[in-house]
Amino acid sequence: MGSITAETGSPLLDRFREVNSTFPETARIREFRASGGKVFGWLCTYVPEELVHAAGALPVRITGYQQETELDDGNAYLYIVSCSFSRSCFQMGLRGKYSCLDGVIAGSTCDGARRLFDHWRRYIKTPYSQLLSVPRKYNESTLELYYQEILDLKKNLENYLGISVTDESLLNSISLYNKSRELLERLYALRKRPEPPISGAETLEVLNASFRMPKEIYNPWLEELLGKLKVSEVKHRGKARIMVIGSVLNNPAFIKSIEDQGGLVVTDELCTSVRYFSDPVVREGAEPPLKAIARRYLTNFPCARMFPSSERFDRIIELIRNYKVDGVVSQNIRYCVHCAHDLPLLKARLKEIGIPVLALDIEYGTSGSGQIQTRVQALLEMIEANRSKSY
Amino acid sequence: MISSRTSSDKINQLIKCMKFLARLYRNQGHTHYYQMMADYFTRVRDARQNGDFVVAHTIFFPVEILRAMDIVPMHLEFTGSLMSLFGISTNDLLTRAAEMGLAPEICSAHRLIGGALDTGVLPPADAVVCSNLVCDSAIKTGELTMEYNHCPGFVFDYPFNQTEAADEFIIRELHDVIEFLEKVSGHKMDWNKLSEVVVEVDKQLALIRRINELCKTVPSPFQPQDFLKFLVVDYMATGMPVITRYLEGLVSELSEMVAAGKGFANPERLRLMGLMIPPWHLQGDIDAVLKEHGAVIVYYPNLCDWGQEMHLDPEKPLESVAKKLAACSPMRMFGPLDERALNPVINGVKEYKINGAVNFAHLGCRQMGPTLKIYKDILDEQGIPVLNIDCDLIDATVTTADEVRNKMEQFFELLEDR
Ligand code: SF4
Ligand code: SF4
Repeated sequence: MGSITAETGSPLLDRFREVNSTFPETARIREFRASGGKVFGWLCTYVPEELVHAAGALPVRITGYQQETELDDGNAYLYIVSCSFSRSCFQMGLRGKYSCLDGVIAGSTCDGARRLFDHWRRYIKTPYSQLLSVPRKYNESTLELYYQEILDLKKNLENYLGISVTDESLLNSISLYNKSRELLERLYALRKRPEPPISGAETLEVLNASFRMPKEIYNPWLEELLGKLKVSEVKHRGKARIMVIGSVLNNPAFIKSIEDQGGLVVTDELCTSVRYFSDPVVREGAEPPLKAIARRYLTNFPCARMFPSSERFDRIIELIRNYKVDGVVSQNIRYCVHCAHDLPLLKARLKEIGIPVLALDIEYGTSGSGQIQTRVQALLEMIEANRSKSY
Repeated sequence: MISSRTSSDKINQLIKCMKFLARLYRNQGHTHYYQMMADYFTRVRDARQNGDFVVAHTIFFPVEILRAMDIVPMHLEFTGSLMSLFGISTNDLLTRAAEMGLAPEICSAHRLIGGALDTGVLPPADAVVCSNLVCDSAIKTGELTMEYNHCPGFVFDYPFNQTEAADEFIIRELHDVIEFLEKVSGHKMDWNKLSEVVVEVDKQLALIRRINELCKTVPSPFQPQDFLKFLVVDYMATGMPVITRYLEGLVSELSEMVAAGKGFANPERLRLMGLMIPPWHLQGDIDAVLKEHGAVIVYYPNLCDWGQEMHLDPEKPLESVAKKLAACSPMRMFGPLDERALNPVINGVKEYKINGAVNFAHLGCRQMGPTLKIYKDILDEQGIPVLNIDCDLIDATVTTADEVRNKMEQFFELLEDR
């Protein structure tokens, strides 16, 4: 196995790493603010970044501590029954780590996010805050509701920022964000190779940076990386091709701990990766650009929160086929219950197509404990044993 | 997935309990309540042989609609909770849920339904309506119920923010769910009947408000665990004339007590606010320890406070159903924790002459648990101490009656010393 930095001798991955290790106080965010720009934090993939961008602000994703951390404040405020992702984000906010934010925009996506927002607004008091109602199913009526919600967000942002968001600026933002999606698709396509030039852990590092910096800078960086990867001699091998699914995940060390056991992580359905960049915004006819944005966010690769879950299951199976996945690691953050609820039904579906699932209950930020590694090893051995039986 | 066994034993036990209690309370308002419950579960149990159409639904789905369509409702969460309340063992169902792979962090009320589906304890449903009210688990349980029954389902998608667009959307959703139910059941919506139900609901809300007013008197005449009955009647049987009779009976009984200066606790020394639902199986124990110490829970702001008088208009039955749903106090846990949700707690301190608040923090509830700090802070500003008791609504192995008693007794001492 190799790494991009070592192979190319270029600092390509280091740039992404630098963004991740300094976030939220990155040089880009500081520069942006110093030039008078406003920075808005968003929570969950149902907040339309394009709109914030078209309003001239920088949207960055609120994430928690990179590693599993004692969450004394998180526990005291949000109680232990909130998922550790929301407690981790809150604690960072409470301790001033997100003082760079001028606003927070969240979606009513799940119990964890909703309560995190309640506490954020009350105790952290970022100057601007708004929570969007996000429907759980898609039809013309829910689209209209969500569209009205983001129209309301648009008006509020215009008032707060003293600007006007034009269709033209929305179309420009759509094109910038779609470009990013397209480049990330290309990055993922490289992982379909039998021996991909980039590991799963490295890919997550590239992804993490994508929502922590301006896309205007990110896209050329990613293009450059893709160019290098295309001709790279690096080949990642493993005993089995693994897909990671479940709750939000930002710590690449978790993926690395699977890869260190010999699992080749080739794809995922995480909201920090595939679900973040899949499905571009497509404008139908001359409809308002905001309507197209609304449709994309409601019909994107569904989160476990959406109904019916069979749509999520179908897309997971599609990825399994496209990436020739041998086994699935489901990592559920405790109290992220929509993922937990889905497991029995999803496992039954995957069993039908002969895909084993390792279900892990974890805390946000975990790097993968010894126990997790042992269980991953058992999964890999099972896949290998099944493979030899079928020969 | 198909259930491994079928058994209606637990439902039969539930019906037996209700019938027994209905006889026990002869000639009091409560007899109507227990009779209604016995009839409810008998109808659910016998629906297949009677050719009735059963719709399983999750919490907060407006049952007024099912009633007006002559559809038999089966409340998923409460069927399990009531088993727990009446001492019917639920451990086997929770164990089954664990075997199915439902994680222990999922609220036990919902794990129990999973176990009940898999063991065939729940009678079959012909369709399911579920909603995102009031937590993430409800939709998921709805889907699981569809899967086990191989039946169609509808998600009533309730908006988080209350806006004009959201109000319009809710009416559209209600129309859509009616269309769905008409299609799958072959029953037509009887709009006149819905109007009649709305009239009855209006009366019932006025009676509950009247009871809340009576609880403001010192001493309060109301038995604290009876607050839960208000939840049951609202979620399962709202708008049924028998519920009006139950509430009228209760009002006259409580009014007599107030006139005679009689209270639940004699003498009454401590008046408490209940923040969240106490474990179902410990209701009797909690009331006993309250009574022994001259304490009484007089107000549950998040469970049974219907706010100001609101007129439900039978000429606009669907709008009235939506209006009532929005006003329902547990909905404050669903929406943003803003003034609308918090003011009743603040105002309740003075209105009900509160000395302390008790919060039963149900493990597994991502709605209630995380509100604790906010409630503690606002009550602290009012000089009201809060006792937090970690427990489980259903799972009797989590907290014992003795643990709850000890904690409450220590808290009472603290309040008395102030
Ligand atoms: S980890 Fe799960 S419960 Fe927590 S905020 Fe994310 S989706 Fe919601
Ligand atoms: S107790 Fe909490 S988690 Fe359980 S059903 Fe009620 S709101 Fe949901």
